[in-house]
Amino acid sequence: MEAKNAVDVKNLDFSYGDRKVLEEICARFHPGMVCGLLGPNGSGKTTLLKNIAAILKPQKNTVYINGTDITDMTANELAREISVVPQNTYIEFDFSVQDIVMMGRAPYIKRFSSESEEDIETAQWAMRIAGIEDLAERSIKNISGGELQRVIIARALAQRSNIILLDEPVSQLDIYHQLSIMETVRTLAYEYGMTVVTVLHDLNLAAEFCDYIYLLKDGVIAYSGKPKDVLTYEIIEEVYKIVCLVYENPASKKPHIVPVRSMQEGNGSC
Amino acid sequence: MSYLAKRKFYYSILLISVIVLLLLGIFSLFVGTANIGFLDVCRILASKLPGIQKLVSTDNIRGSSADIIIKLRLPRAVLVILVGSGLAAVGAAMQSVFRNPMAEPGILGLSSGAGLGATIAIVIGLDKTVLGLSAAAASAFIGAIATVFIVYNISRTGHRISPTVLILAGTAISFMNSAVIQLIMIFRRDRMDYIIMWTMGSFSSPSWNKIAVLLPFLLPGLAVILFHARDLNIISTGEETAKTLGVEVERTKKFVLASCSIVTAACVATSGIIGFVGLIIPHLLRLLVGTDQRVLLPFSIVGGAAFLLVCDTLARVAAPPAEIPVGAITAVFGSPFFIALLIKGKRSVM
Repeated sequence: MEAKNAVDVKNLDFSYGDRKVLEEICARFHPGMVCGLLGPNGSGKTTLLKNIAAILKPQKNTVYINGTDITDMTANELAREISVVPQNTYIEFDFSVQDIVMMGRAPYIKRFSSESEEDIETAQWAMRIAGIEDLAERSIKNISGGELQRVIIARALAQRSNIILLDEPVSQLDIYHQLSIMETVRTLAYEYGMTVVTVLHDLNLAAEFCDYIYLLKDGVIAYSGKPKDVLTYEIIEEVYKIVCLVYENPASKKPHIVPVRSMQEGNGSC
Repeated sequence: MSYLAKRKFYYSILLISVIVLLLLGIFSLFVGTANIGFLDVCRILASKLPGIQKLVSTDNIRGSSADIIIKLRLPRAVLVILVGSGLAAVGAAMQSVFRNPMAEPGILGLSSGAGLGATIAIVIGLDKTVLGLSAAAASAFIGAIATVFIVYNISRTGHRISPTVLILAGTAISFMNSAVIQLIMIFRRDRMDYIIMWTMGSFSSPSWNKIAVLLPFLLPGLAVILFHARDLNIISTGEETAKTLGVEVERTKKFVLASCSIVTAACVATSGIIGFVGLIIPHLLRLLVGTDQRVLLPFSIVGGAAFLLVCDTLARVAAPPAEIPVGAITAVFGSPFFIALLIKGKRSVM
C-alpha cells in the first residue's frame, strides 16, 4: 500500500544523449516533510527534479505518485498532483500578478469557460498564503525579485496540488527573502501537509529548513538522511571538495557550516 | 474592477469596435476616384441585401457606379479586412509562442518564400489561373508552405521544436530566398517591375474569387488559434512552466504554428507581402487592452482589419490616379504612432 501523496523514485536513470546524468536513483518523498536535494553543480539535482515533474520524460516505471506511474498520466492530471516553482522566471509580457496566479487554475478550467468563483477564491487563498494579496493588480514587470518568487509560489499553490517541487527557490534573493520564503515553504509541509521537495545550494538553509536531505554527487545519491547526519565535515569535504568547519547553530541546534577554502590543486589538502 | 468584470468590459468594447469596423468598411466604399455619393453607396448595398432589396430603388444610380461598388470596392474592402485580421492575429499568436515581442507573420520565412514562389511564376511566364487566382498567387502559396516546411524540419529534434532555432532558421532561409529573388531580378530585368510590385503587396486587383479562396484557409486557421488562446498565455510565460501547468506544449505549438503558417501563406498569396500589421497591431493592442490572448486575439482581429482598411483607403486616394503600395502606407503612418506609444509606455513605467 502506497502512502498518500508520497513520491517514489525507483531505479531512475537519465541521460542527455550519451551523457549519463542520473544513475540508479532511489528516493522517497513523504507528505508533511521538507526534503532537500543537495549537491555540487552538475550533480543532477535539477535533472532529478525535472524528472519527477515530468518536464523531462522519465523512463517507464521509475517515478510514482500515490503508486501511479507518472508516465501514464496526462499533463493535466499531473498538474493537479504536482506543482513546480522553477529556478528562474522571466516573463516577457505584461501580465498582472493575478493573471499569473490564475494560471495555476489552468488544469481545472475547461476550454472556453471562464474562471469560476471557486477558481478566483482559490487564487486569492494562494496569494494570501504567499503573502502577496496587496500585489494582485500590479504588473509583474513592476515587482521585485522576491515578490516575483512569491507570485510563482502562489501560482503553484493555486494548483491545489499535494506535492510541490522547488528548484533553488531563494538562490537569487536577499537574506530576508531567503528566510521568509523558506518559512512559507515550511508552512506548506507542516500546516498543509504537502510533500515538499526543494533543490537548495545553500547548505545552511538546507540544514535549517530540511527534514531530510538527499545529497547527490555525479548523478548518484551519495548520502541521504537527517541534516545532522548528512551535513558533517567529512561528507561535505568529500562531496563538495572544500575544507569547512561544522558547528551547531546555538539557536536551532542544527548544523551550521562555515566554508574555509576549496581543495583545488595548489591549495593542498588537509 | 474585479477579475472577471474587467474581461466582460473588454468584450463590450470589442463589440463596439466591430461596429466601428463595419462603419469604416461602408465609409471606405464611398471614398475613391469615381465620385459616388454616400447615400448611393448605401442604396447599392441595400439593393443587394435579401429581404430589403425591394424597398430600395436604384433607378437613378448609374450602372457603372453599382459595378464599381459591387465588383471593385466591396470585394477590396472585404479582402483587406480578412488579410488585416489574419496577419494581426498570427502576429499576436506568434509573439506568445516565441515569447518574443519581435515575432511577426514573416518570421518563419513565409513572406520571402511566397515572394520567391511568385517570382518564379512571374519569370517563367505562367499565366494560367488556378481557382481564379493568378499563377503567381498559387505559386506564392506553395513557396510559403515549402519554406515553412523546411524551416520546421531544420528546427525539429525528435518530436520537439525549439523556438530559438525556428527563428534563426526562418531568418536564414528568408535571407536566402530574398537573395535568390534579387538574382532572378538581375537576370530577368524585363520582369523586374512585376516582381517588385508583387512583393510590395497591394489590393489593387480584388475579386470575389480571391475571397472565396482565402476564406477556407483563414477561418479554420483563426479558429484553431483562438481555440488555444489560454494555452498561448501560459506558454508565453515559459515552455517548461506551461508543461507543469498541464498544457500539452509541443502539440499546442504545432497546431498553432501550422495554423499561423496557413493563414499567413493564404494572406500573402492573395495580396503580396504586407509588413508591419502583424508586428505592430498586436503590440499596440497589448498596450491598450493587456496581454491576455483571450482578449488580445479578438481585438487583434478587429484592429488589424480596421488598421489595414484605413491604410488601403489612403493608398487608393492619396495620390490619384496612381496607387501607393499599401505596405508603404502601413509603415509610414504606423511607425510614428507606434513610437509615440512606446515613449508614452516607457514614461509610465518610469
